[in-house]
Amino acid sequence: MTIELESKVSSLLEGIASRLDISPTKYKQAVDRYTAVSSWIAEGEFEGVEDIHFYPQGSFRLGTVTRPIRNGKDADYDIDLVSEFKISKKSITPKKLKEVVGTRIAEHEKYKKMLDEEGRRCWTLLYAEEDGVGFHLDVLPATPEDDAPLRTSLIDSRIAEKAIAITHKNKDCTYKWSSSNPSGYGDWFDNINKAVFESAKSLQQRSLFENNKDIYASIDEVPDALIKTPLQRAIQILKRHRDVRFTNHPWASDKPISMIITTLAARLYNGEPNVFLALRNIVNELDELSAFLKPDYGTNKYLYGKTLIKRNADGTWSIPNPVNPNENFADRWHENNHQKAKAFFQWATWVKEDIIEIISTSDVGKIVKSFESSFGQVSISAARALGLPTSAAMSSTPMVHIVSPNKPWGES
Amino acid sequence: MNAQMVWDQYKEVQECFPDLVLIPVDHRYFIRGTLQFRAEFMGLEVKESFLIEIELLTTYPHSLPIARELGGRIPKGFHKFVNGTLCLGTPLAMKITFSKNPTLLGFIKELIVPYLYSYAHYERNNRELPFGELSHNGEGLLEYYMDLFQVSSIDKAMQILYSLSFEKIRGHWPCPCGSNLKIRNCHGPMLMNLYNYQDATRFKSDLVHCWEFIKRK
Repeated sequence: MTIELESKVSSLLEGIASRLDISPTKYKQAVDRYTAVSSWIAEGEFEGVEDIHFYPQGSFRLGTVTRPIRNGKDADYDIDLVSEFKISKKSITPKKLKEVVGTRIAEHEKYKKMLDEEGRRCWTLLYAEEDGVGFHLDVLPATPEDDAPLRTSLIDSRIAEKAIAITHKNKDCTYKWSSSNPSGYGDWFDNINKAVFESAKSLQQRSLFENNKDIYASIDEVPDALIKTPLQRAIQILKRHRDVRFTNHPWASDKPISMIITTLAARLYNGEPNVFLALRNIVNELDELSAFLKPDYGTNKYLYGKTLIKRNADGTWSIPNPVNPNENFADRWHENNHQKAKAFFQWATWVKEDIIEIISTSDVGKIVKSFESSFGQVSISAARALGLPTSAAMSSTPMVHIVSPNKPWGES
Repeated sequence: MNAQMVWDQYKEVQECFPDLVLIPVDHRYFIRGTLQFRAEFMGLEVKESFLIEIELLTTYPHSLPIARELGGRIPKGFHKFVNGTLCLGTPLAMKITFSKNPTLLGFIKELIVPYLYSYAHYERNNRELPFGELSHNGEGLLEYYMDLFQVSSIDKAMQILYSLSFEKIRGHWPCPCGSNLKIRNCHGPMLMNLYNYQDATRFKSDLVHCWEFIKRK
């Protein structure tokens, strides 16, 4: 592939990802919403609680928000907000913690109406916004995790000490604690991302400011969360591709979860300077790991020493959470005859075909078309902006030889 | 409907017609975009492009795709259904044609392209259709069946359609076309084969449509 084509394709992907992104206006709206909820909860009276920390987790924390689609249509954004009560988890039961947070939210007249049914781990507020694009704000009650394993594990102690205990409602309506470390995960991700963050910032901050002067008074007000590195762009593209390809698919319920995509992409990222190179590297590696599905995986030398995805002696799978080795993101991959593992590798093959291999055709028209089917029509305008042809004024218009045509009929 | 099958069939379409885009909506699929083609019939070639939409219902491929022309080029009075979708032939003719290559690409090449070719020819050549046309409603159905059964009278076509509607086809019976031959030596094999495409109930509803036309006449 020529360097010129490579850079065109990379800009095309960049353009697609930016359309999957949350807009600066929408981002500000999201931050306003969760800050308001945070203040409301913080002003509540909680016995023995001196301080509560609020912070987003997941894609809002990582800068990998991807405009969700459900059933082929644009849908609301999901925001996860941790509300970490600075008390010992021994001083409160998970049931009580969940309850006091829920009660406090419901004391607000407006929030009470927006409150969804109790979730397994969170309370959800449903925001319908005027522009038709709403938010699902998940509030996760939590306390610091003071159980031993997380803190004494092999993980960097500065990351380990950010572990939290979250509440978990069982099917029988009892509650238990479970462990998580979203803030530590964010630090781990930032650590990989930071290598290219400054250069991305120097390129993007100015234009974000120039294009959004109605929101930002000065360039310093542009939030870092809106700066996107090639790694973040690649993750957005991968998530969107997954959503499109599994729409209406019989395996839809087994599609790869965002945490797995994000973790593997981050671990495979080598500081590639553009989104195409980042994706190509990630996808090639993932596709090669599909050898794990073959019966002879145990004797495959290539797989020795691979640590990204592992298969245990009993055939089960393991993708450890990088900030909590006790948590396995792939703990259900072996169920139903390895259905989730199969869905994952099928998807890796799709990405390779749809995004990477199509490029070797060196036919920009074809590439744009393939991207259109993989990402929806978001790519059409991206392609136009790049001056790429969007209609195939290709020399090879197909020829159809009509042999035994039907006579047209009609009903009126 | 199997999403993998739809995707695989779509990929095949995309190879040929790169301007068509697959759009999943709820549990259906749309294939939309500019259909650019060259087509040839009896040595006469055209190069054309139409903005079209193909809709796949959840019952696809058991139910045929539905086709629309979105550019507003084909007027209402041309061969369309009441709801504006393209009438690519009688229902039975469409099913027979589709069965030869029951994929999206087959549907486009065997049904949509000939229809559009026919319309383009009509536009250019003073409303003349290259492979003829059928009247609308029951009258057209009757014309189609006379053609299919290769009989020259309305009565004979109706007799055969009646036999199909009530499954009155036995090898040793006289053929309903009036040839005095046994069914098995006349229309039998052809008629039995038609049940592969639609069942007696559908023939009965066609029979009713044809009958309504005859009555009015």
